[in-house]
Amino acid sequence: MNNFSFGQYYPTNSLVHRLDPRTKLIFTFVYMIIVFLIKSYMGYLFTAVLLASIIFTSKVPFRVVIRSIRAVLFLLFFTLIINLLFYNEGKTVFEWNFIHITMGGIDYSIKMLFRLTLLVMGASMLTFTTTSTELTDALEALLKPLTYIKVPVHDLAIIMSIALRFIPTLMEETQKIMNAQKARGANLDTGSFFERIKAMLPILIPLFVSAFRRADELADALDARCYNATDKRTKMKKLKFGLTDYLSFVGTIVFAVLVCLDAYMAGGAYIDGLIFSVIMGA
Amino acid sequence: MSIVVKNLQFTYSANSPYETRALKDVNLTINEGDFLGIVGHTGSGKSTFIQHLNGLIRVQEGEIEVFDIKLTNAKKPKPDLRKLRSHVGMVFQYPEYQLFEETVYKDVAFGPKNLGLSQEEINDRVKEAIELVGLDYEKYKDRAPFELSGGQKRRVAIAGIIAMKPKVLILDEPTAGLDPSGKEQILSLIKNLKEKCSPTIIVISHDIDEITRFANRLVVFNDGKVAFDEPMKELFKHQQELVEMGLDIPLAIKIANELKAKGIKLGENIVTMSDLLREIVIAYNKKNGTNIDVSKIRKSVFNFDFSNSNQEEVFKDE
Amino acid sequence: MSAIELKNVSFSYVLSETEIVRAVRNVSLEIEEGSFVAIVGHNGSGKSTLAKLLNGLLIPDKGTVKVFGIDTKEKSTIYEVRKNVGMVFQNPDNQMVASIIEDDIAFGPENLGVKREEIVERVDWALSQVGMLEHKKGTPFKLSGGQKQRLAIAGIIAMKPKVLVLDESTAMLDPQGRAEVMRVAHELNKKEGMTVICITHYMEEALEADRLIVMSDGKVVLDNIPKLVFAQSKELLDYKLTVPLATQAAIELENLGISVGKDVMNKEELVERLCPLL
Repeated sequence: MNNFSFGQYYPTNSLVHRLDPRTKLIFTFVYMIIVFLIKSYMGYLFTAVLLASIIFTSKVPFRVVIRSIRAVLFLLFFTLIINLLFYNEGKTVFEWNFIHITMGGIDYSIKMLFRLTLLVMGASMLTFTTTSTELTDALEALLKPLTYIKVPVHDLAIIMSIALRFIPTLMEETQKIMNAQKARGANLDTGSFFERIKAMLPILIPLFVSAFRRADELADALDARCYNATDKRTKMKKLKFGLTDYLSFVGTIVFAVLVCLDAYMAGGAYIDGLIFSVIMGA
Repeated sequence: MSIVVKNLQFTYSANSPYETRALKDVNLTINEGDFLGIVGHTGSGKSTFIQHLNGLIRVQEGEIEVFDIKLTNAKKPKPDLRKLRSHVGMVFQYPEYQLFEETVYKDVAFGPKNLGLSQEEINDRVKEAIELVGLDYEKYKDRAPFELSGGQKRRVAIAGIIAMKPKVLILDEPTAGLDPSGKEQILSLIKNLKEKCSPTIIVISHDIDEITRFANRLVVFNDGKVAFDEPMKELFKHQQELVEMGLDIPLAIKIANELKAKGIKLGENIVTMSDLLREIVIAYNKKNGTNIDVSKIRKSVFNFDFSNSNQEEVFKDE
Repeated sequence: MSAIELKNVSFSYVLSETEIVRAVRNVSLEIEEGSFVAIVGHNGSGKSTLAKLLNGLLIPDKGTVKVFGIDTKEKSTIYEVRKNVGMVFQNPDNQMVASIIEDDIAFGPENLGVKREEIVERVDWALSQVGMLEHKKGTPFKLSGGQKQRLAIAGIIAMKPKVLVLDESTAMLDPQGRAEVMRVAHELNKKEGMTVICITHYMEEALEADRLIVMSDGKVVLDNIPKLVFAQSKELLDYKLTVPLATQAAIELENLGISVGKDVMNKEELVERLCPLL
């Protein structure tokens, strides 16, 4: 791993890190739904402040969280352009050939940008503060009721755990393979879209071969460690809710209610217009 | 001079909890004709270092000159990486894992093709490279690399690099994971490449007994720095320091030390097993009045099985 | 008492209708409980296949493998077999299932349904056995190969197996890592009485075993104490193997007419034999 990357656990001993992973998972879930519900700048501002305070409490440096956006920068830019071009409502501000940009389009694009940024940063906060094992345990615990309708929750949890566990390994592997092929003069950085896809083959084939080889050995290793030996599997770590977890739940509910109120009441419209004009001014 | 490295520094994951300073002020000159061994334990910086030499890692601080190509942290002028990589060939660890084409021919041709050579030239080079690594061209060119044995795959992978005719060939742990006979095959292959393909060879190895069999100069990396850079025979004057760094010293030296500690007089400059045997024979002759001919000691005692056989015989099992 | 007993065991890989690789051919062996056994052989000699037959990862086509009297063919008792014969593989990266070390070590005991308090104890015990206790809460990603492989061993011994099989577990490590892993294996053998079966390419590792089994083309061709196996250097060459470096030196000296004996195993012996001659 050359660089600190998106979605990697960032160890600090903070309150957020110590929260029960189920709490964090539920919060992230609610948070994501809410970010989609937000309609006003006021709501975004409010959510951004909340997120900022979570980041602050987690002791994960802001620039690290900001960096997580870099991975999806292209996506952000792409949605911005698409929305600007195809969302046509309100006063027209710019027109040239087929390009038709409206005030409503600008408004919508900016909101979309906020939405995606908040989503990505929020989701990466979950992975920054929660180890993959905790995440898996939490998911398994929360989905437990599904075992009654014969969903193999435990197997799914193991699959997820292993997938997360192998992300850094495979990333490192990809880097190695890329280096090896670059050393053979492979050109991976320039050329047209299709040329680049074709140039990826020398990377993808060895990567797949290696992934299958690993999977093979991993399967043996799982067997050797008696995976599925008994239905009465035990757990070393028991998840436990503490005071901070209960407080977080209350916080989550308050947050949800506030955003919903904001979304369905016109009260904030004036302040909202104000914020929009400030943004446009900037 | 082939490669000149000045004040090279490198840090991974700067400003994160995973920050590691891999190289701290490395200075090194590699000359044409060097058979250079690089040793150092895992994490000493040697892998980071060699990846700089063909531009796989961008210089953060310091300067590297590879033939006429300058590598610095400046954005402009952009170094000609293609040319650089044709000068400096790099065989990574477990290179057989990088094979991807359907046939041996195509895989070996990948490098030369990327260099933009003519079809005729590519053909010649592929043929030459495959034969150089000891495989029969006609027999193997259309075979799928995945069908070959482990040792054969590795040789095909090496052929893929030498088909680019690098002036400097770097091999990172070329014998890792092979069985004893596979190791011998690769070692004699490397010697052969030095004569017939790349005049300058750099090998990274953890096996000090192996590396002293061919290197004529040894560079020791420790904690991101070049701790020692000596002709092979001179390095082990620092054996005390090497041991303190957690590095191994050749078995021949260990045996010589113990013999000397027991009051037996042996000559200086013992590094390889054949050096040791020579000195033992001399001491034996002196004490017993015998006349055993030192020239009868085979050059590389390590591979007493393979040393007498020529290249073809070494590979005959395939 | 024998820990593992193989009787006329054969195993073939069927690659296609016409291509069959006979990896293990009619092997009979008994592994004594508490012993340290090394198995060597060239690539493709069948030694890794043999290893996988020992804990029921592979089931013999012919013959039987019995682990403490339990036939590995029996599906109902297969986990009893695997619990008793722990296996560590070549690539440490491919054996870890969790991103936090203690969670990974706990995986085996959890699968076996061991009680929580005991798992916690076992994790500490296993990690201290391999000298990695201080890394308990950490992640394996930044560790050296030797450290990772020691963790893989900890993950296995946390199941409290009676037999530990190391299937080329040192092949990808540097000399330091190799030495660490071998030291741990020998300690487990001596202190905990664990039976260790070590499959390796390194003759120097084989040297340290109580018993050395040489495989070639799917068959056991030599089986004796290491000293006597390495004395048969000619045969070893035929099996595409070599002898330890010190032995090679001794053989060369013998050939030159300096009789130190061809059964020299290590530098201490060579020095001892040479002293009176020089």
